[in-house]
Amino acid sequence: MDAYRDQYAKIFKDGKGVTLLAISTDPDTTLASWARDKGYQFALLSDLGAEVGKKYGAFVNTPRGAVDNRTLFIVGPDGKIAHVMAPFREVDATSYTQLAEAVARIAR
Amino acid sequence: MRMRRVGLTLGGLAVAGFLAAQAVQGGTPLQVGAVAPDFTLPSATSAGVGKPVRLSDFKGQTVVLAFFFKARTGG
Repeated sequence: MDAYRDQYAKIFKDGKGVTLLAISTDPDTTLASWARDKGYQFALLSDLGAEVGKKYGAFVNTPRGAVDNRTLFIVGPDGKIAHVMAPFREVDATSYTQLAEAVARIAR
Repeated sequence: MRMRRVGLTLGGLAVAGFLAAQAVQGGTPLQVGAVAPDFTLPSATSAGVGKPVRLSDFKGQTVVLAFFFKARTGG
């Protein structure tokens, strides 16, 4: 998540014409305190029970229940999925290069 | 009759195996071209807990949905 913050201008054009929403099964209060500590410029969404993750096929079952997993979707201006990175390899620098290229191609 | 029963059993095992694999792995991600399912979720920013966010409010814009495991981890 720190990479999104550090490369926010490069990948997400500082939020101009593109919105990043980071989604996990954490409670909103946990996400808010983490965002404050880290200085994230984007919103984080609380998907308790992985209900949205299940709709997108972006979850994994664990002994403690379903949790969202590392999957990234770019939704285009037409409301359709325009790009998928599954799994999103967050430790691989090329993931961010590919993401930046996809956003530049899709976002108006 | 016996062959048929064996066939049914094997078929049943294949289905059970498939379901078990799905249960462990989780879902298959939606593909390019699919309509992004709408949702409304509680939101948070560095300013604190915010208003619920609805995907369809961003129609006409590009939205990156980055699912991840857990706050305060590398994931």
